[in-house]
Amino acid sequence: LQQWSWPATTFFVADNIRLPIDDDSIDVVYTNSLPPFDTVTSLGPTVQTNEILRILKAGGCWINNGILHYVKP
Amino acid sequence: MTTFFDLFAQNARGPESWTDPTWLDREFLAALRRHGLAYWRPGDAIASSGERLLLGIAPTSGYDMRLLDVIVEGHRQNNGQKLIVEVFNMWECTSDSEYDRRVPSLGVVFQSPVAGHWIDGRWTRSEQGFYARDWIAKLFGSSSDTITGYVTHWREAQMATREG
Repeated sequence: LQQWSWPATTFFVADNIRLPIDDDSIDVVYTNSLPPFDTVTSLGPTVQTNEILRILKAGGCWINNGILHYVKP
Repeated sequence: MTTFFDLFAQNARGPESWTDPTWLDREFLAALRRHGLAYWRPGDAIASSGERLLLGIAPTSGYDMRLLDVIVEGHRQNNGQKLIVEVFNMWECTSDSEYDRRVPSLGVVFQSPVAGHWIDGRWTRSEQGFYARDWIAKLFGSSSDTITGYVTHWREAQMATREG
């Protein structure tokens, strides 16, 4: 991650169980080619649907593999 | 015939797969049967002669599913024809020891796919992630870059469709 840079962008590694992001604060969440949501792999819990829903703003959307997966009411 | 990548795309689009968590695993097994690829589980025999490849695939990964299409297409064009190819679903493995029972010496598995290689029943090599994908793809006349490009192009097309 230290090798990555992009203007005005912060990269960080976080625990899927509790993302260090405020409630209702994100416009768009992108996920790609991930393990099944809300399950456990050998590395631990996978992406948690409730966490993505928590951080999305009202009207914010979740795009999975380039496809609109969810819009928060 | 439906490709493995078609199956990935269908799963991504939903909605039937979103409400049935077992849908993709079932369809994955059926697709392996349709394409003549064997599913391998611990306890199944390991070929004592010939060259064997055991591939752990994440069916939720477009890159892994495209790799399976590359293998099927490569077989059709006689690339890697002598290889015995067997497959398992990585999501059946919930611990590193579960991977060890299938493919030795992977260490901690961080990335998909995983692959092991045997000659005359003796293990020779294991890889995971990019190194596995590029190794296997090249055996069948492709490369990791080509696969990544295919998936990226598809994903961008989905987004362009949505935004257009």
